[in-house]
Formats: sequence, C-alpha cells, structure tokens
Amino acid sequence: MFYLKARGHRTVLLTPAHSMSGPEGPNPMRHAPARSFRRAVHSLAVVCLLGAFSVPQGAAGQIGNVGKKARDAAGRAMGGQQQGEAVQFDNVTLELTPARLDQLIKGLRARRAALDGRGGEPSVSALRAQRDAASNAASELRSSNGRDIDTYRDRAYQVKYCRDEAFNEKRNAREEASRNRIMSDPVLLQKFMELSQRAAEAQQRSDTAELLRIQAEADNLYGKPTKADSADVDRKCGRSPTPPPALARLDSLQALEARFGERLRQREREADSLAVAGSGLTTEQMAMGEERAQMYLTQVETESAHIGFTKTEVAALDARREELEDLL
Amino acid sequence: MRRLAVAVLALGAAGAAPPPTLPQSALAVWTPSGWQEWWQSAAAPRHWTAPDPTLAGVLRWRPVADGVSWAELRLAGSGEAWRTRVVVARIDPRRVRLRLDTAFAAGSGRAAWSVRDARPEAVFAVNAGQFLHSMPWGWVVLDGRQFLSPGPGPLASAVLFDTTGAVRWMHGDVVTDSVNRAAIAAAFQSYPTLLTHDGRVPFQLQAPGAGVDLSHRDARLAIGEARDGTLLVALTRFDGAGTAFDFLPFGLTTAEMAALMGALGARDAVMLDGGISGQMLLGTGDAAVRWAGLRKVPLALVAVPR
Repeated sequence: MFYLKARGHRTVLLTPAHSMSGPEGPNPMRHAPARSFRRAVHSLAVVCLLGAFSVPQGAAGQIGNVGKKARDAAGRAMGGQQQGEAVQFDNVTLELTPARLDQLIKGLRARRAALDGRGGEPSVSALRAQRDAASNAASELRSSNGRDIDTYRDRAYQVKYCRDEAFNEKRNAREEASRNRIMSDPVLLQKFMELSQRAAEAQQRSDTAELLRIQAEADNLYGKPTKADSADVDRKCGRSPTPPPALARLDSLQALEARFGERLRQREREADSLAVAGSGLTTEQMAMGEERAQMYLTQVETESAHIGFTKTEVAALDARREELEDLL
Repeated sequence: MRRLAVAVLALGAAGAAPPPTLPQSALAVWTPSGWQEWWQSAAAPRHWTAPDPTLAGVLRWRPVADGVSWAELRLAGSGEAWRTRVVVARIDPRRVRLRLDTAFAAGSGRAAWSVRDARPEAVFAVNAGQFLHSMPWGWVVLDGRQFLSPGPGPLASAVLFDTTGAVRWMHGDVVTDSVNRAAIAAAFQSYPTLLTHDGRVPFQLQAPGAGVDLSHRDARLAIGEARDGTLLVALTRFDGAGTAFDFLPFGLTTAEMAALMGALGARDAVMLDGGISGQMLLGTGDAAVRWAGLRKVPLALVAVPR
C-alpha cells in the first residue's frame, strides 16, 4: 500500500497499525458504530463532572457559563446527529451552508484541474512518477553499493573529524600566541571587543549566520592557517578517501529527486492559489472548510456521530458527499 | 492544520501600526487547589525569561524512555477554549537520536505518515512542519542533504539538528549560504514563530494588525527548546467531553500558544501543523501512548534510542 522512501538511515518502516492507544483510548473517530452510544454516555458523565468544577475567579467572566456549555455538549453527544452550534464560527471557521459548500467544491475542482495539468504542463502524478523513479533508482543503487558507500563515508567522517580537531588545536594555539599582540595594540583590541559584543548579541538571539560571520572575522584577526599547518594536519590525519564511483551517481539521482520535489511543490502552491481564487474564500477559510469536510468524511467512514457540525452543515455535506469523497 | 498562512508569511512585517492590545482572554490551569489563572492578554509578557511557576508546579513528568518524558495540563481559557488538555513531551536530544522521516502513498503520492506508521524503535514521534497538498512546506534537510529549499517569511522558523544531536534555530528567512551545511544532519521549517531571541514574543503576536489572526482558536501543536537544551512539544486537544470532541477546532489562539510555550520554559518555539494533522507518539511497545490525527502528513520528527 505504501512505498517506502529509503534514504540512508531514514528508511521509513511502515508496520501494521499498532494496537496501542493513547491514555484517553483510541481515536473516537475510529470507533465501531456499536460503541457510539457507550461513548455518548461516557461523554455525558464527563461533561457533567466538568460542570461541577469551579471556574477561576479572574477568568470566570470570559470563560462563560460552563454548566450551560456542558449541558449543550452533553445534549449534542447524546443526540447522535449533532444538534445546535457545535463550533464557534469566526472569520476562519465558517458554517458550511449549501452556498459555502458550493464555494468550497468549486475551489477543490479548480485545484484538481490544476493538479491534473493545464496548458501543456505535466500533471502532478506525472511529476510524482518521475520523482519516484529517481528515488527508487537511488534506493537500488544504495542497496547494491551500500557497503562501499558506507565504508567511504565512515572513513571520510573519521578523516574530517581528525582534521577539524587538528585545525582547532592549531587555531587555539594561534589565539594564545595572538593574545599579547592584541592586548598591546589598541586598534586590534577595539576590534576584538566589538567582535565579542557582536558575538554575545548574536548568541542571545540564536543568530547562527551572524555567529559564523563573526567566526570568520575572528579567524582573520588571529591569523589564518598556514601551509605548514595544513602539511602537519595532512601527516596526522591523512586526506579524505576517494569516493566510490556509485556515490556520484547516487548524488545525481538524489539531486534529481529533489528537483522533482521542488517542481511538485511549486505546482501544489499554484494549485492552492487557484483553489482559493476559484472558491471566493480566503486561504484560511478554504483550508478550514477542507479540513472540516475531511472530518465529516471520516465520521461517515467510521459511522460515527456528526460531532462538530450543525444540522444545516450535515444536510449540506450529506447532499454533496460523493463529490467530496472524489475531491478530497 | 494545513493553514497556508500566506498572510502570516507575507505580511508579518508589514501592515499598519497595530492596536495596542490583544483580544481579551485569559488562561487558567487546574492545580490540586483548583483553577489558577496564570496569563491574561491585557498583561501578556512580551519576554519569557523563565518557566511560569504555577505551570511548572503542576507538571508531573512521566518517563517513557531514556531522554523522553511527558506530562499533561488542563487549561481553562476564554470562549471555546473553556477546556483544553495539553500534552507536553520533553525530549533530551543528547540522549536520543532525532531524525526526519517522510512517507508518501504509492499511486496517489499523498502524504502517508502517521503515528501508526512510525518506525518500531521510535520513542517519540510528531508530525513536523506544515505542508501543501502533499509536499512539506519550507526547508527540509534529510541526512545532511537539502531535500526541499527554504520558504520565505519573517515568522518562519527553522529547526536544525546537527551531527552531534545539538539543536539550533534560525528565525526569519533562512540564508542557506551562511549555514555550515556539513554539520546539519536534518532540518525543517514551520510557522508562525512563537518565541525567538531567548523567549521574546514576536511583535506580530503582541497585537492584532500585523498580518496574524490573533483571535482564531484551534487545536494546536508547537515545538520549542528550553534553556537546558531539551525540546518541548505541546499538543492541545479540546477537553470538553472526554475524547469525543478531540478534533473540534477549539483551543488556544496563536498568542496564547506563544504564552504556553514561554510559560513551559521555551526560549525558541514555533507552531507545527495542528488541527486534524496533530499527532504524537511517546514511548514504544506496550508502554507507548499515542494521540492519533485524522490526516496523514508528509514529514515527521522522530526520536530513536542512541
């Protein structure tokens, strides 16, 4: 059912669904229909208990009538079909009336058309097929040359680690030697203090890019590695090994996969823009409408109660269910 | 939730001068002595320098694996956030290995990762970043290789994991030229930024009018880093009627989520995809606990034992 993206150490192992569940029990949307009534009774018990909780003094006015909300929620949970306003509608969460649902479906159709290809552009599924071909070829290459590649990478890592350490030691030695020179030169001392100040500020705001720039400037101040330093490090650590021929091919395939990934993403961005334009909704309203329609379809699939929807919404969604199943 | 917060990304730094205050709201936490209010919009801190003692006092950390523990909070907020359960995971990157996993369905190419599909050895897993139709949004680095290029935006944040397991953050536009890519094992981007510059709330979240909807409530998910280097991941669920209403779009506002992460002790934080996408796994085998989502996602942050 799934294809696995095997890339080095991040092979995704898609195992059969585990039987474990969260501390609150399985996802209610996945309950068997026979459990709906039991859940509703449980919900009623819970909300009744909640109604008895005291409300913090300062927040009471804003939290509203907890008891009433609990009763409303209990009534909704017991009702099987959702009753009343289950969702607080706002500028993002709009009630899915027949007219709004029509807007949503227009947007989804516009997106579908864009993803299927227009103006001679390849469809998204064609791009995915190309991306997957590159990905699978890379996986095969890695499988057949994995030992050579891993051996090279291990050795290259060891060499790089050794060289970094060795250059760090030499850098520390240069810093030590430069300290007296800097302390006795007012211009260098001023520069050093400015760098220290900038480094402290960059550290505070986690500005990695600025820290790297400061590091480069400090290296200039202390003096760069000499040819003699490089020769010493070469003698101690050796040079990086020659990569196996398959690695260049692997890099090329992975770069190709990334390029198709970028193209796919660009097409999805364009399709989303067209969906929003076609719907007449805002980006956020469209996304929330789509999300709630998906939630409705999950409830249908699992034969769960339509929790979280008004009667108007359920009627409208029921009427367009087949289209939504096709588009989502 | 797959909200394409174009406004957040494009207009975050623009717009007219914002009004001075957040929409009126407050947050209280359930303690052994009852509800205690710990945050008010009218007096919202702009800089979190330490965990909130009230919240810290009620957290009961439960270890599920070496370097991974979790706790729960019950919050009472305004409006539809009148009951919100928060699951907080705490991960020590020095004691686990963090990586990103992807999965796409054969044929449709749809995003296909869920906590049910997490690798068996995972001791923690959560959906990472935001996504478009099927592809992750923004920067993705896998195994030291750039898989997808960075996304722009003043409220975008990148979370980077280097080869030693250390976590780094980059807020705003990622300038990849300046990043020492050789040291990056994995990275992803998300939005909006909740905390930056050692606990500071971005000005776009301090008052409306700067391109961010500060009144909308939803189920939320966020990741942050505490001052001791541990990662904090907070997942909210509506807690009004057992688990029956888990996925209703009830919950905290973006500003309240920034406050929650600050109060938990984060110095950097960013929102992840919440709503029906939000899902988390803690522990492994029979001891595992899991909060499932209703939607599969293309990218996951996973921790495995070292």
